[in-house]
Amino acid sequence: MKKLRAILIMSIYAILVALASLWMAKQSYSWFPPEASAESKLTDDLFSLFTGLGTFIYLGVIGPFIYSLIFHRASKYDRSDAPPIEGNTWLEVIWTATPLVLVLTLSFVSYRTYEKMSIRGPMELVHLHVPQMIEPAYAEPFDSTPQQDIQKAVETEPIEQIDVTARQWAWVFHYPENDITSTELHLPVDRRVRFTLRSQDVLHGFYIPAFRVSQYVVPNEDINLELTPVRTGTYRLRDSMYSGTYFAANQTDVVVQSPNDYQQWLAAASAQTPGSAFNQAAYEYSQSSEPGSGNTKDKVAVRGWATIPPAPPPVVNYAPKHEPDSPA
Amino acid sequence: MTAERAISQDTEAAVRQHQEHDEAGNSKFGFIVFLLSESVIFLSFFVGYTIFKTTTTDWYPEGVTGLETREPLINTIVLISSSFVIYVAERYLHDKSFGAFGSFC
Amino acid sequence: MTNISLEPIEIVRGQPYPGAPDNWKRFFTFSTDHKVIGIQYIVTSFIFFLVGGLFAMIMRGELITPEADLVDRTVYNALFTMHGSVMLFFWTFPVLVGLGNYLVPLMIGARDMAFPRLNAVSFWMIPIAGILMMSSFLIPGGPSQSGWWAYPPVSLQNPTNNLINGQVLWILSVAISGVSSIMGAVNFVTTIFKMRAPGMTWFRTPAFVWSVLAAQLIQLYGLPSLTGGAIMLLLDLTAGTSFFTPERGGNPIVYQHFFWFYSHPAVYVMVLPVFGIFSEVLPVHARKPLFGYRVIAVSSVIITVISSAVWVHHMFASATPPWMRMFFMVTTMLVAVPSGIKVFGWVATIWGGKMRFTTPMLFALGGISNWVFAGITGIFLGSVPIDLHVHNTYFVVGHFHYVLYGAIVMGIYAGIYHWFPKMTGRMYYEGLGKLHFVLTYVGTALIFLPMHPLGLMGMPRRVASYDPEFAFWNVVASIGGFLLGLSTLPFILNMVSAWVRGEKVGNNPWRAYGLEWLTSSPPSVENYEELPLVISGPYGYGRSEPLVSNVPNPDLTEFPESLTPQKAS
Repeated sequence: MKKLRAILIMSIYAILVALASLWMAKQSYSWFPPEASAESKLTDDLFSLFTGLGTFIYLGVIGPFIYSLIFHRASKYDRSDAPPIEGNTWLEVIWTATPLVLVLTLSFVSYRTYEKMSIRGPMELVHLHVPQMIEPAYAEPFDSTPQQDIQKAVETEPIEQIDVTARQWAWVFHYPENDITSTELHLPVDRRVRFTLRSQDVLHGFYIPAFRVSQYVVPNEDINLELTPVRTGTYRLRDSMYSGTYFAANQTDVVVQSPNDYQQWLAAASAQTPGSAFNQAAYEYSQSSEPGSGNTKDKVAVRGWATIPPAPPPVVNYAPKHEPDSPA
Repeated sequence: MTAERAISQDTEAAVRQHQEHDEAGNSKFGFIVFLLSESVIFLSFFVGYTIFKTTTTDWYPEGVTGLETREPLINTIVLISSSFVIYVAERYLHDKSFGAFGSFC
Repeated sequence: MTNISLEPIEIVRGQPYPGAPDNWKRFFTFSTDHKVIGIQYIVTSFIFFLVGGLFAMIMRGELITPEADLVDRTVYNALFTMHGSVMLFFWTFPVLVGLGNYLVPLMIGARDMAFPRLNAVSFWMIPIAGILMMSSFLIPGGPSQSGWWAYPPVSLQNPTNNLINGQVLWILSVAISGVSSIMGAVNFVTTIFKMRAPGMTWFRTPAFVWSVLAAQLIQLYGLPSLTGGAIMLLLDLTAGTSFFTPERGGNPIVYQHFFWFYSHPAVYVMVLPVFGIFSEVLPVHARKPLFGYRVIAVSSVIITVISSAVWVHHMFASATPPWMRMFFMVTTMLVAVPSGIKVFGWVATIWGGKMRFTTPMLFALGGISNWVFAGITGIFLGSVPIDLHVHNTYFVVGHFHYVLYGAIVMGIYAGIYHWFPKMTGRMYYEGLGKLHFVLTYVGTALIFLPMHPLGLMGMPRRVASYDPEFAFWNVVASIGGFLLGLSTLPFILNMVSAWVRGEKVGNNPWRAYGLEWLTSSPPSVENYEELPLVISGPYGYGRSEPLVSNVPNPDLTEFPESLTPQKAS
């Protein structure tokens, strides 16, 4: 009877935990920025799976833990010891094997997701000028929607090439086809985009949260990264690798546009003569009280130390009109 | 219980010997551990050097054109041979033959 | 350092050295008593903990508003660099070395560490290195501003062009603390291998000693790699070499390999002894043997082995080839297996026990619950596609602070409270201790939980200013941060007043099973009048078996029946 009751309670608890895990897995999608790229859907699905399993394990461990805290306490004057149970081989084998199987499964699922995203690391992409090297990666049968998006994007139009240059502390985007430059990243929707990331000075991190991918930008190396934007809108590009004094200000907007708008923007930008863009780092540096030091006397309560001077503001065809944190 | 007691007294005697008169053994063990650990530093230097030399075309620091080998070679020989001399001197010291030890000063 | 073997180690009797002070002054001398050194470590590192916490609170003050308006950006960057460096090199490592120093010889029944003088030297390097690092606030150009990773090329940029700059002082300071750690590790490993009491076989050795051994082995193989990397960085910075300088053909990524080859296992150096503390505290306050003791003990060593091959998971985003990403993803996730064994073992230990919620027990239970959460988010981070999104965001910051504060600092508190009666002979104040626990637990959740959603939303770490969309969670986190700052006050009050005039308790107020509880509180200079002869394994709760066959200490009035060693003849 007692055993039956224990089994019943455990089953009810397991069902409740499973329901809670499902709910968490569903909720996890709302914790992210919008899914603006085909790859982001893959990441979110994977994250949802991890969240569900993670919740299950967490509650599975914490439940008995809290039960024990409530019911297995010594009464005030009870100075005796609990029964000397030192271990249980079967239990120990089970709780070694279960996590082992679980993490190997999770590794495998992560690997599949990674493959589907077709993110290829720099080593594979260093000499991408040879077209046949790319073929095998796409040859695999695509099954899920995000992959179909990627597939369609790759098949319908050629990959859009954009050169990204990071420096202390600005982003410059070069569109080689039209030979224009911009400090704001404009992308066509539903097309595969290949970024070639270069750094002029230190490590930077190319990170667009809405696209779910970050990649270091390494000096002396050309790193290629491919993405498929699938949702129009304005997102944020951030420097994810600490790069010195004005690192936090090294951000810009990413505008994903319909093909028409994108072409119009390209045309409009190429009609403009290059001019000096607003740069937050250079602006703050110029406000310094003493030349060569990072002190912005009017803004902060505690003054700072000398800093590396920012690179001069980039000279580009297009710079956004509404400047982020524009000078008052 | 008394048998156990006798056994453990034997053990204790042995271990006391081991602990309190085997300081040299501890030192030796500790020193080997230390050397193993220290060798990893040099391993990291070799790795750093190898990667640097194989991936860069011109790996010399500014203003340096080639590796100097003659003086470092002489220094290395002096350094390595000195450890033998010190070892011999130490042996004499250990044997309390201060005359022979003094001849190294 | 090479004269370790040449130095004659004299056998100390009575006092560590002739004329050594016997009162509080001994904590300010070059004492070779491992118990004095242990307390020196703990107190010194706690002072650095307060310093690092102060830095953190200034940062949380800055982050309470989206703009960089409280401190200059350079100051903010210096603060997070110093916060990380101080907390790791001058708080977490030394305080655990201190606890280990105090407890390991007592637990294995040795009279002192294997190399008492070396022990003292390694302690005294800590304040020297710490003051050296702090002194960089006073030099022109300020302290290092390249984060505690000191990644080149940022760490090689030297705005003042002085030879003595913050980065150089940082490297020197880290190198000194590294030498201290290596000497400590040699000492611990030798002590544990060679100086266990008669009869103490490996599987009669307490889990804490196993975990300290596992952690110190990591120091031995890992730390030299960081030292090597730091020396090359120093050469790049001062001597014009270009190992990591991209302008002259160096590769900054190589430094990351050197750095993380040590600095990831370093997390296990910190967390393993805390696992050991959990394994010691739970059985005492639940009156039940440690469940699966052998497996828990061995899993520490398994972690030592696996942790040598996981470091690239910090570099999934740094131009790492796919095979490396996949290989290190699998190894990283494998760490969950031995960690899981421990967690399950602890839950099974308290299951069906007779628990008392004393302060150390509360901290241990709180630490375990936080560790479960942190372990699960750790598996998230091990998965390459998820990591590529949350890499270098607040999700990572939240995760590792849950490990470092939620599990490790709480475990340290548990250890300090648990062995406080042993170290001082007096009892801390239970009420203040419980207040401390509640403030710490609530503060930890308030500051570090919000960092997870922030990271998923895409807030990078180390930013002095951020977009307004992140403001809400940052305000919550800042409130939690100030609460954590507040939580140290009852602790300090408790420790100081209890040490001065706390209630005197006997040698074994917890009625605990273990060699350290068989001697007087505080233990005399040589720990035991007679070396204990161990005849059974640890954690003998509920079995009326004696732990040792001889009676090392005549004062056994405090002992419950079941623990009293049977007097022979």
